[in-house]
Amino acid sequence: MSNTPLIDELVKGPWPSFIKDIKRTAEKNEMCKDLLNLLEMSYRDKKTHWKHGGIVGVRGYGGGIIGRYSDSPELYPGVSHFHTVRINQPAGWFYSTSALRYICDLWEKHGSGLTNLHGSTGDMVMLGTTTEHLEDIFTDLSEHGWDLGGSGSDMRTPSCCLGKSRCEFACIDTMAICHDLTNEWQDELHRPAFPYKFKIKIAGCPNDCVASIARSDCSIIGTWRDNIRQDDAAVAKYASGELVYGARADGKVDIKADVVDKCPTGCMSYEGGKLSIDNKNCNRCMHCINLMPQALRVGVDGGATILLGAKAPIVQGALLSSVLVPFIKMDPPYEEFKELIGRIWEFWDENGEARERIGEMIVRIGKGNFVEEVGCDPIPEMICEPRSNPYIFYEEYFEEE
Amino acid sequence: MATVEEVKDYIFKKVESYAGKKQVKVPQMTQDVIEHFGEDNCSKKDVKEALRELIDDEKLVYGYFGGTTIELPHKEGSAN
Amino acid sequence: MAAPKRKTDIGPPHYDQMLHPAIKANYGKWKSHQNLKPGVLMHEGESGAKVYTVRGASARLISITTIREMCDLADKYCDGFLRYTSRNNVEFMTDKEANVEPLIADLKAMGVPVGGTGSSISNIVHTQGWVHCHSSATDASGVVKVVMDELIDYFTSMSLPAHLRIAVACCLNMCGAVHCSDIAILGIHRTPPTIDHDKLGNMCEIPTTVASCPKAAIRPAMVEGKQSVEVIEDLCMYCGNCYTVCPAMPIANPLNDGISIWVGGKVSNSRTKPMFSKLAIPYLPNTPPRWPEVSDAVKNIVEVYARDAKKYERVGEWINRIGWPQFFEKTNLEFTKYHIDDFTLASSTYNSSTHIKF
Ligand code: SF4
Ligand code: SF4
Ligand code: SF4
Ligand code: SF4
Repeated sequence: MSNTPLIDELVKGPWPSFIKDIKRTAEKNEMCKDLLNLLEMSYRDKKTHWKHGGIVGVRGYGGGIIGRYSDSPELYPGVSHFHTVRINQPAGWFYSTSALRYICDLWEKHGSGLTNLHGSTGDMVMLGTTTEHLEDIFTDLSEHGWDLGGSGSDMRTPSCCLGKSRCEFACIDTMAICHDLTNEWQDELHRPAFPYKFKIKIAGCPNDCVASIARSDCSIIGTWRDNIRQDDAAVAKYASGELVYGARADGKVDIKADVVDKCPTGCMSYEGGKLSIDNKNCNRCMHCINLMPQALRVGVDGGATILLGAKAPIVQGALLSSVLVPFIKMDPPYEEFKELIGRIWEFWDENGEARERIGEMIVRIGKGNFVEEVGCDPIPEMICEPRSNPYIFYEEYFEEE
Repeated sequence: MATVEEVKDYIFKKVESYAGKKQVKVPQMTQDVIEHFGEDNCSKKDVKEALRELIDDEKLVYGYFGGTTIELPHKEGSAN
Repeated sequence: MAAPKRKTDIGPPHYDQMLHPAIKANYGKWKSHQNLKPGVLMHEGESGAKVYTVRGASARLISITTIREMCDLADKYCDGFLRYTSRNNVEFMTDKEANVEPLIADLKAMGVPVGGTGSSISNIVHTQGWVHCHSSATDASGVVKVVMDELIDYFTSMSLPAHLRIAVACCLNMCGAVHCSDIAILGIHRTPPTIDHDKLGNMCEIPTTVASCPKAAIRPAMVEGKQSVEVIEDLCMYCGNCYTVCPAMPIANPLNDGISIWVGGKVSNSRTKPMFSKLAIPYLPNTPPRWPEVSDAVKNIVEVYARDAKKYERVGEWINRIGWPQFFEKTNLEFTKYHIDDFTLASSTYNSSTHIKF
């Protein structure tokens, strides 16, 4: 009889089973065996058997390794130390099989053989190794052209959607930007010196496939300033049903009902078989382009909207990023953007409180004050609506002579 | 001008004096050092360099405590 | 003695080395795409070049055994290249249309479902859970597995009104910020940490432990003649930060930890602005190994949405149209006082109008 009856239940069913996978790997790896045992114990006790505690790392770096210890080392010595190594992924999560096989070999030699492809920040997350292996792992990696990702109060590993490599919606070259910023800020990534973590995510268009607006302190989201490109012949094909949305049975596009009437700004019309867009009033929501990608395309004058401040709930509640710069060109070497971020970091460094994300700091000191401090002009694009309360702190007033 | 050695020395002693009492993070340490030596004698960059040397030489190590801290090197183990 | 200098700060390998030749050739020159069938995309370049993408599911927690098998397929069909998506799917790209069906057949034989494109339920993004995290109120990979076992037909088809994104986080820290998902499954602690007064004084530095609490809920205290701490329970938000620094204050509480369900969030800007997910179910019991209450609850919400929403409406857009009273009615979920916000800015969620449907 198996000694892991509870987690064995997760071998069943059509979705890929991580338990089955760990079991296969456990045939050759002791750590995996004990991980299964420890996990079985969690499933039985309904509680975690991990502790945080000690700090480990490779020499000189403050980020990239997360220490992890089990609370039952006597029972399951194989996972008493089970640290995580974050490896900085190639932009867009593309791999050659030779690169990926190298990583597998490394992890066969030095770790549990288990990974997350990928962690939420974007890194390759290598689960389970011990302190003795860390320096060897790092040396091996750097000799093969790889480096660690971030953790702690540093710039976290930037990540991006695949952008121009395979998506016609991309208004900016997300992968080039991601690679460049990652290299530009290596020191900020490896040697934590910020008040808290700082995440950067880059999406090629407002569809935001990397959830940058919800998950990054700095969201770079592609957009365009000129007009939506329109192919009237293709519009006609959608109208006739020759082209459909997706491969759906009901994929025939009703241009009036599905496109024009769903345009949130009411800036489209469809009369006598002619689709017209009042581009001045389009808010770049992507709906019409998503629905008819063969007929409508983003404009050619691409750039990015820069938004700041997203974070998960702890401590002051969750935040989404909000607009700082409505449009900025993102062409190499991205100087204007880098200078802006430099000013933001400078200000945050001096004014951020311990464990305060930049979004929380902006709320604390007021967005109006913040934008002024980092050298931007207050503009209506930054807000949904002006204040409705009269508690204005006027900075200037007249005094009688 | 404060030399790198002086800055290193100051940082090390500070961290040593905090051991077991207070968790110190890089931004606070930086402000502290600059205040101590005076803005004209010591820049952010100087502090950064001093810290990097201390850490590369393993005189100090990074820790984690609701954010990254700098600490004296310690034995591995779960919270002592 | 200073240790020898090593190679540091070299950054990740350049993505250029990682791209299939057909991807490289058409980089920045794509014209449009079609979703040929669930899990299969065809991208067309300005030049007329075509690249086919096959998307398969992955558990995210995958071993080198599985990764090597994926590599074998990429070698066989895709000239030695593959990628992973932001939702942890694996993608195989080829310029040879003839490779698509054999590749799909091999994936299926390997147990990898193909789908996750268009108006489907794509892979669930999730966190570490009991596999690897000290804060977790529940497992993450296990919950994902049982929910996707239940919903797999929505992954392999494109039958929903719009795409539907599910995320799992195993505590309030929400690594990966799941809080803007159509459906978010969130592990919750509901009780303050328990304190082992016998051990605390020896195991933990008291000032450090006190300082670890973001809510200032921890105070030094003498308990039965021992140096320890006390927690002001009204202030505690069950974040587990104290446990991170002090193993004598475990936050896990098997009797009370559980799962909550949140709905209606989105990150895309399509039509409506990005939205947070809102509370649908404040508490479900933690019932490993297969969490039937959770998978039933999620399935129920998905099915009501699938029946009731209009074409192209995301969950949040659907709820905003029908209104929250109808959401609770249609899903047959109980509305409780916990659904009424009492954190900062709560008053902005009150209904200050007579807009009520009867
Ligand atoms: S965010 Fe936009 S550009 Fe990037 S992959 Fe998604 S749709 Fe394409
Ligand atoms: S992108 Fe959105 S706002 Fe602009 S025309 Fe299309 S549907 Fe309307
Ligand atoms: S969500 Fe919480 S429990 Fe889950 S991995 Fe993140 S910190 Fe750990
Ligand atoms: S769980 Fe969080 S809020 Fe509660 S006492 Fe611990 S640190 Fe403070």
